[in-house]
This record gives sequence, C-alpha cells and structure tokens, in this order.
Amino acid sequence: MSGVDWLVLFGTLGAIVAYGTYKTRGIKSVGTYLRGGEDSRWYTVGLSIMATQASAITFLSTPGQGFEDGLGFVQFYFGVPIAMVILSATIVPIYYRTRVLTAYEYLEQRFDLKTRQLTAAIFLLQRGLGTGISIYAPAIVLSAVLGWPTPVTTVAIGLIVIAYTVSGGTRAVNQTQQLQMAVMLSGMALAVAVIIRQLPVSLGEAVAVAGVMGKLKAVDYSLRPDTRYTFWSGITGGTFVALAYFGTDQSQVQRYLSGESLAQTRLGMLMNGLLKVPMQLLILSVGVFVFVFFQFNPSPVFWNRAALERARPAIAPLEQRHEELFAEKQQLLGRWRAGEPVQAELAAVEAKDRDVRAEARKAVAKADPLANTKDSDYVFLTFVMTRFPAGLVGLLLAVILCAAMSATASAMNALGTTTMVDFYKRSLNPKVDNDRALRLTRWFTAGWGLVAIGFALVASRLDNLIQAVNILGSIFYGPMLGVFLVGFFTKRVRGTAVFVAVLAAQALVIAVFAASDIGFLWYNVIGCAAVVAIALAWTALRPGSLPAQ
Amino acid sequence: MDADEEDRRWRKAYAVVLLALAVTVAALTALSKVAW
Repeated sequence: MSGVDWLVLFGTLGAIVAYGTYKTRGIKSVGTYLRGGEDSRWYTVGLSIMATQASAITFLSTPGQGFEDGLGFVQFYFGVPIAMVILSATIVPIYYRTRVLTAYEYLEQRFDLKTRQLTAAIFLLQRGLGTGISIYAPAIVLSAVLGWPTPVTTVAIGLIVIAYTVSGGTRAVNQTQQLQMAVMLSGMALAVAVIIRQLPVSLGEAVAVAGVMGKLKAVDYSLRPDTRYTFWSGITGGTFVALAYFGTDQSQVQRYLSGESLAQTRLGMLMNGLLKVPMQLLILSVGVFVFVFFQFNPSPVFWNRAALERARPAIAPLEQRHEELFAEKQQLLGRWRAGEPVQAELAAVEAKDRDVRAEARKAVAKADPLANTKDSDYVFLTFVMTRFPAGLVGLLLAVILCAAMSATASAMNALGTTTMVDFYKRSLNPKVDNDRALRLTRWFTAGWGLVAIGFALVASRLDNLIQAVNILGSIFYGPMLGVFLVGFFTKRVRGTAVFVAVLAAQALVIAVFAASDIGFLWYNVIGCAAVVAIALAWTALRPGSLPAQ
Repeated sequence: MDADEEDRRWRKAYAVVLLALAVTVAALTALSKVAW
C-alpha cells in the first residue's frame, strides 16, 4: 500500500472519530447520552439505521455473492421496505407514546418485569457475542490480504469504537454513522466507476457478458425449497427477519428513538426502505463487474492466497484445469462477440469451472482444516489491492473499516444502555443520580466493548464458535419477535402466559435445531409462531390469568 | 393539520415506498428475462 493510501485511510477514519467526539463533547445528562438528545433529523436517523446494518462483512461478502451468484441475493432485501412500512405504522408510534429508552422497557409496561428482563438478557447474550464476530470477521480477511496480524486489527477496531462510543453515547454513534455512511456509499460508487473503466469491453458489452453468464438473474419466482434466495423467500422470510431485527433489536431501536419527533423517525425509516434495495444492488453489481473483468483476465482458482499457498502441491492440477477453461472461455467469448450463438457452450464451460473451484476449496480445506474456504469473501478486496489506483485503495479500506466501526458502535451503545436501563436502574439502584448513571453507563459500554474484543480474539481459535453464534442469533430472534407481536396485537395475553411461551418456544427451537436439518431462516418463523400460539393457548386455557374486569 | 389529514399523508408515503419496491422488482424481473 502506498503512502497516499495510508494517508487517506487514517485521515478518513481519524476525521470521522474526531468529528463525532467533538460534536458530542461535554455531555452531562444521562438522558442525552442514552437517547442522543432526541434532536436527530430524518436523514441522520435513516443513515444511522443503514450504517448499523452495514457491517464490514457486508462490503466483503456481498460483492463476493455478486461474483459467485449474480444479483439474486438482492431478493433477501425485498422484505426491508415492507418491514419499514409495517414498523412505521405500528410499533414505532407505540415506542414514542410510551417514552421508553429500550425496546424491552415497553415489555414491562405491557406484560411484567420478568418478561422485560428475560428478553433484555437474551439480547445481551446474543448481541454481546455477535459484536465480537462483527469485529473478528473483517479482521481475518484484512489480515489475509494485507498481512496485518489479526489481533492487531481486532484490538485497533475495538478500541477506536470504544473511545468515541463511551465518550459521546448515542449522539456520537449517530453523528459518526452519518459520515461513515457517506464514505461507504461514495466509496462503493467510485469502486463501480473504477471497475467499469478497467473493463476491456464497453459497458453495454460487459452487461451482456454478465447476462450470458447468468449473473443478471435477479428475481427467481420458483418455489423450489432448495433455492435459498427467491422472490417468495425474500418477501416472506426477508420481511420476517427485517421485522425482528429493526423492531426488537435495541441496537436498531436506539437509532430511531433518537429522532426529533415521530415524523422524523418515520421519514428516516422510510428512507432506509427506499435506499436499502438500490444500495444492495450497487454492492452486488460491484461483484458482477469484477466477475466480468475476470472473464477477460486470468484469476486464481482460489481467492484466499495465503490458504492457497499452503495447499500448493495438491492444487496444482486444478490450477492448470482452471487456466485451460479460462482459455476456452476466451475463445467462446470472442465468437459470441462476433455474433455466434455460443451461449450454451459458455454456460457449460462456466459450470465446469465452478466445479474446479469447488474441488480447489476441498483441497484447501484438506490441507488446512482451519482455513476460511469461503474464498468469495476475498475477491473484492484482492481486486481493490491489485487493480485500484493509489488513494482509492486507502478509501476502500476506509469503507470496510467504517462499516466494521458503525455496526460495532451501535451494538456497544445498545448493550451499555440495556445493562443500565433494564437491569441496574430497574432492579439494583432505581434512585441512582444522573452523574452516577452517566458514569456507570460509560463503564458498561466500555465493559461490553472489551467483552466483544475478547471474544473476537478467542474466536480465531474456536472456529465452530462463530457458527454457533450465528445459530444462536436465529434461535433467539423468532421468540423475541413473537413476544413483541403478542404485546402489540393482543390485549388479553398477560405476562406469565408470554413468559411461559418464550421458554417453551425457545426449547422447541433448540429441539428443532438439534434434531432436524431445517434451514436457519425457518427458526425465526417457528420460534415466533410458537410464542404466539402458546401464549394464546395459555390465556384461553387459564382464564384465571386474565385481568379482573 | 388534523390527525386524519396526517394519517392520509403517511399512508401516501408508505404507498410510495411500496410502489418503489414494486417498480424495482418489475425492472429486475424484466432484466432476469432478457435472452442475452
């Protein structure tokens, strides 16, 4: 990396952190610290929501998805605009009316203390571990591509985020996220422009090549259960996941509760609904154009170079086969551009090449069982490092680090807030004064930051743990959404019914996880439906649990 | 502005967001069906 790149990278990150810290200096009120002063305009709310969801792995994995499977992944986001409309019309006005600081506080108003603290505890467990992953996941990719030691990247990202999140609270997170989002969007738009300029063919031809190779099949209306991303799974499962995430996860709820008014918050959420799908299309199209680029330029058979080297003797014949197929593709593309109908032959060669790459992944896994074999995560960063001009490399690294920091900051902010509001202030010391509450919330936030860094550091030695954390998230999201749905849309169900329902639904989802091969996405549906059904059944069968008329 | 008028305006805003989604899906469907 050149000196200019380092300057751009540290200049961008330093300026954002300095701005966030400066704008939020001297916060004296715990209310301002937790709710961000309730003066955020709609664009701050909208950008903050988007930045919270955009983690570093979004910018590493999504172009990789585009490279491998084309635009189809965008269907997963079709549920976001629908969820934004539903939440704006139903849940958000309730949060505003009840003046809550956390989503779980509402559950005590609606049900009882035990339901509030059970859901808050589930959030702390799930998000506390998840935050470690959001630091660790980009650290492994950055270290593989840049040669930086993983612990250095992990600790550096973690400590920077702790510094400004602890100092400025919610407002610092929102203020920095505005700038981080601006860097992310402009960085990706520039990336598209640079990649298009590097293509050896015109833009029109590049699009046609992507089309011939099947990368522009964005919408799939088939009902096959083995196809992960279809229109139907996006509209149903995608809406479901988005409702649970945006409606009940404190790291998101805290973003929009900082809005100046209900109207500003709603506008911010609708902004997310309008921009999310185009943004994902932009990031996926980066991957598609990188794919087109490598139809005309040689590419490695496996993109994680460090792991490839370790598998070298076994992988040599596969590399040779990959090169032969590349030569064949070149020939066919030449004939196709001359007007010959060779689309079917091209697709066949591409399918063979995919098989060769799958073989290569197996060979790498055999040589090093701990290697990250999802090599599509490395495609975009490798392209940036080897093909982008000086200065832009630094900017694109800033994009990835901004994403890591923005997602982590929201989570730490929410974890600290939940610990203070739902546990310390509620049960341990209800009369805590402003200064002490502010000081303690800062300590809680820093503490959760250190837990996340610690988890990220050991995650490298516990590869299966990451998988476990991802499953953990899916196991808990469904029942969590179920509790809120029962709260919002029923009047008769009381605290004990929903508390029992959560425990039973949780046990059911864990049993489904242990005893079946059902995909993760369905845990959300099963958990949510079970909570609603059990809570309603309990209420119907135990009329004594109804409130006195 | 009274509450009904405000509700109407929000419903319009929601319709715009959902219409944008529908237009995007229609455009992407058309793109998926092109025989290159």
